Amino acid sequence: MIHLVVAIPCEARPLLRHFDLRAIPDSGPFRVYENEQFRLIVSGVGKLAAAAATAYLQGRSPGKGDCGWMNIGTAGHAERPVGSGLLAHCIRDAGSGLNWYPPLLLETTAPTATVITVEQPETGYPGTAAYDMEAAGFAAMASRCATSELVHSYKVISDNHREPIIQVNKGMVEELIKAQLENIEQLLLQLANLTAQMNALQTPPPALAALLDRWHFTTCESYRLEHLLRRWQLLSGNNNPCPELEKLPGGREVLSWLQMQIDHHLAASTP
Amino acid sequence: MISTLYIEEAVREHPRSREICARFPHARQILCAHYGELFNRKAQHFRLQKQGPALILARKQQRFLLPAPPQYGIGGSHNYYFSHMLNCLYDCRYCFLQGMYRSANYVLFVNYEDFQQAIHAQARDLADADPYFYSGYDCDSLALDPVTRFCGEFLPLFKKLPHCRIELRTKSTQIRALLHMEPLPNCIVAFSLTPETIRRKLEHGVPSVARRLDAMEKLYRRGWQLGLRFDPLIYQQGFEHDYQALFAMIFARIPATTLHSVSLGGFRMPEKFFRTLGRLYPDEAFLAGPFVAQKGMVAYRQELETRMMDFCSAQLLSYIPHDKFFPCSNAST
Repeated sequence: MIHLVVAIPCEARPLLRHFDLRAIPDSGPFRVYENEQFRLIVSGVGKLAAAAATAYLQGRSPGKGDCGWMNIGTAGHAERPVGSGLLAHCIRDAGSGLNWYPPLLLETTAPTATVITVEQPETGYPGTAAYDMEAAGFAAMASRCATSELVHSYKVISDNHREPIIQVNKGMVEELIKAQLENIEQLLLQLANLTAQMNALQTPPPALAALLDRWHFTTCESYRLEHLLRRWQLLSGNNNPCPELEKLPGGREVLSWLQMQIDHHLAASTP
Repeated sequence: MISTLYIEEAVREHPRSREICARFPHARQILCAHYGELFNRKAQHFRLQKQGPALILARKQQRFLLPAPPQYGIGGSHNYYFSHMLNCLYDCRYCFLQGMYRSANYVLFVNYEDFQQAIHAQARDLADADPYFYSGYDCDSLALDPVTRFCGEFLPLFKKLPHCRIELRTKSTQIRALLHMEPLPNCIVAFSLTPETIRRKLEHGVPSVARRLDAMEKLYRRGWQLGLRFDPLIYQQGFEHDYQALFAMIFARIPATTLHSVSLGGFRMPEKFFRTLGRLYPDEAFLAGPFVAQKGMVAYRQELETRMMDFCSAQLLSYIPHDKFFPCSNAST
């Protein structure tokens, strides 16, 4: 699952249409939309709202696996043309000075830049950074929910020295995001791929669920079961020990059996 | 190869940084205050990052030189290591770096002059001894040499310190700089080797044994002293045949007289690192192998390690004299 965090409805609309996301009824303090692959939340303006929405979305996510996270929105920049997109290579909270550096494993034709999150719209655009109002709140929270390779922010330039922020309106923002959908989708596909890789590493070994259903294990024993089962499967090349285990009376005997089988395999491979 | 360069602001104008940036004109350059802001922070995943590691140019602030772990020497009584770089170009499944660091990015400390000063000071303090300096502990000494220019920068220092020895430890074939230099009698170019079947399974990105043998042969013919490092020894069924064949292949081309030293040691790793490897590579059969944890370290079962060490020691000692042989002392040989 990929989680999208946007600040305002006009940034969300092109994404909702493009990915065919449906509103979740009774979604609480934030509007949340989803399909099978994406879940989008409209956070409201500002880093606190972005952090809160990110945490809220994480809280609503069932299951143990990691999700990919992408903050999509608009930003100001001194020189970059209005309508161009950029991927954040550094997200800086102007208030605290804290930085996040999303590892750049996603390939994109868009440039990358530092995104500085400010409390009020920045109209002087100092330096070469882009300025937004949410990315730092998003990054602070999302990097607690997933490994940082899966946390990114993509910004579309809405204003610069030549086209000041006063000219920006809802319709324009919607068009700006819409025009970047191809780039955004390309990034999201890669993010989905990385997320799938990450989740594959965390997938429990085959047959674990069946064993946990069949016998009682304490929490500690269930960790040991997972470890032993994985090791047995790697050594034996067999994914399903269940037929052998059927006649065992309890969880402890299952653990003993697996340990014995592992010892047997190791003894056989180290004559 | 490198698509992203992170550069500490303090070394932005360092000549070495500028040279490296010029070498990667298409890489994006990202400034940071300190490499610790992005290297080894929480919520990083070594295996994902290994798909596209970035190069971080940084300044090492302190602890340029550290005592080498005891009993890992090759004949000297004063052993030190230094790490101008963290992390390795290669992706060996048994490597402790994967367990030690959360990040797979390469960190290059460009302030070589500070390392050199520390080495010089230590060498001066040990003017009557024969200190050894090891450079390949947290990285491969040569794998990135065309970028780091490590050999060209550090070996001239050791030319001025003839009572000291430097070991370059590598799995690479990046020897061009060495071939263009006058051989240093106090430099040991040490190659880490495992049998080819193990390399294919576990040492991703590492040149074949045959290619490394070519490099070794060129070096010894040029007059460089070589070292052989069979550390870690890796068990697989039929290891006797595999290691015997490896030794035979090496000594058919490299005269034992040109070797400074040969060392070997069984696989061992801090238990905490080993657990991290298990999480990073749950599908890796090697990690399910005949290991035991004892006193915080994971290693092969004692009788198996003894068997491997005894076998390989006997084989090696049929090629080399005892005074060039340095088994890691936690083994039984």
